[in-house]
Amino acid sequence: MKYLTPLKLSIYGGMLFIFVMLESPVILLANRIEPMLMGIPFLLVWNLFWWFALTALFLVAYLTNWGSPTPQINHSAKQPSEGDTA
Amino acid sequence: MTGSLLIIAAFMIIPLLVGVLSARHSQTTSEDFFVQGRAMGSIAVFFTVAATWWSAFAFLGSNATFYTNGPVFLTALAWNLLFGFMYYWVGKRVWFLGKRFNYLTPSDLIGDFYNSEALRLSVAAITLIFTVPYLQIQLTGGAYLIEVASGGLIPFWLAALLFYFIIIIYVWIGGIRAIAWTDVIYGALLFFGMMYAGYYISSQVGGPAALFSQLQQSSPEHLTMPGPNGNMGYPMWFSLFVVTAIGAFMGPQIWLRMYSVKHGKLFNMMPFLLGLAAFAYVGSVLSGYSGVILEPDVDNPDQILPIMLMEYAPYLLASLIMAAGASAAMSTANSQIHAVSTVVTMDIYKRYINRGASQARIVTIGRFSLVGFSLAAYIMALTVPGVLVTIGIAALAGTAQLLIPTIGAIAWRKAHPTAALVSLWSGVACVLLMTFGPLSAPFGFHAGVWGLLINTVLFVGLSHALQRQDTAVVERFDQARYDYDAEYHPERLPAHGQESTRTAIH
Repeated sequence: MKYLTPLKLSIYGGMLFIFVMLESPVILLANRIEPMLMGIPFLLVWNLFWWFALTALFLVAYLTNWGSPTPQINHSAKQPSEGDTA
Repeated sequence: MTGSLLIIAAFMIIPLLVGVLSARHSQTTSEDFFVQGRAMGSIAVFFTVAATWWSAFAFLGSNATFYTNGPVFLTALAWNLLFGFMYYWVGKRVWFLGKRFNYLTPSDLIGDFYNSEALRLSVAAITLIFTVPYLQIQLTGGAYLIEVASGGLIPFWLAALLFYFIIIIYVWIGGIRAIAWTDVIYGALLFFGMMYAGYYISSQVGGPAALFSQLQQSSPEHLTMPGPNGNMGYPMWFSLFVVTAIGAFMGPQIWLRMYSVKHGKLFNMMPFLLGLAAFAYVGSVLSGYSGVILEPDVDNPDQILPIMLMEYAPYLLASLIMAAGASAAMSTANSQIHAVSTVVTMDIYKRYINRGASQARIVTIGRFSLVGFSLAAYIMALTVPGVLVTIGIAALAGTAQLLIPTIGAIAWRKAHPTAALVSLWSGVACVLLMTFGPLSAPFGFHAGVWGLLINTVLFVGLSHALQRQDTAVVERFDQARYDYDAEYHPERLPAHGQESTRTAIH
């Protein structure tokens, strides 16, 4: 697992944590109307908060190349395939 | 009324013109017609992926679900984020392999990696069978909106016919390039429409805070799970998250939008952009919940937004927002028609009927397939009734099953063809039996979730138990994966920071 750089680990770990907050049974803890924030039910606030957090994390991921070093070489030249279809 | 008809006419004609104009850049090759020569830029990619992904299901179905079943559709915020992440992680690898081995369809990748004609045909069949019902709901939703916006002057059957007539013209001429260009318009209209409809309709009850306060007094069960009918609790919350995101992502229309991308780096920012766009669902929250206060007795919940717009908004504004809703439907329908015609042309016609077909012949077959599938979906829209979300989820549960063999193909050298075939059909059978057959889905989770579970267990178990004999294919994909890592994830290479010789990634 050496390829999991600290930054990459933080991005993927943070992402997993937020999905757990939104989609695991933890969501049932937020399944309530009160306390309302600015007149908005708590369940909606909870979802919007974690949505915002993960969207921001995706922005950080983009800006940091998803935790990978900037690539130095290019290997993407086409090569023929046995199942060539186009 | 004249103003509304003008809006509808503009809604029909402007995309037609844009599509026709875009066709001036087209070339007469199948790669250009189906995947824009793998040269689609960032703006077109974002809008065409987002507008294709957001359908009548999102525009009308979301309002209907908040109105009828309470907050379960809030899980859409998370499924948009999951969709975005998959577009990055899976999509970028699919794109890389597609570019290297010249793939055009889902079957190309899966059939090539597993070296199996049975899998190739299975994938083609599953994409076709489960995409057509989803296509039908786009037509139903979009045509209904046009009918309402015109005050009934354009009946449903005519609206649906116009709908497909226009799509066929510009896709016939310009292929996926025309779709991508028109999707920029559709996408912008769609997000504006969802947000503004929510803002405007909720202002009729005093704004968002007043809306929630009134709802808390009159119908608090709408604000928490399991909703007013008591059947939309956590299992459905999780099921919608899994099935919708994965099912839509595995649709052939999204596959083509992976293959079409020009640069790999475009995939890196898509999770952020697609996640950000999900904020538009707040508009649906406000519209759907306002309906509970303003129009509590609507029989068909899919009609709640158009009914409120006609009742409470100025006619022109209502027509404009409904045109935005029709955009959601059209932008998905055009992509689906194009995608299924690609599957038929490449996976069936070119592979099994006419292997030596010329580029011009392939494009012609693709165009006639457009017409055939449009006609099938049109007939279904006129004859098959159903609620948008119900049909949509069942169709998505089927295509979702393709994720497992796809992940095997892009990331796991031990993935075995027999395992992929058995697990894929087991997952599909589970979905069909639990949706239409005698079995019921246990614990309230959707059939699609159980299908994915069975699919995964069988796939992993059988792949471990069986041994692949076709080492040349496995090695070819190992090399491709190695090159992918070298280009985008150099830290994964064994000798990161130094020149290294080719090493298989196991």
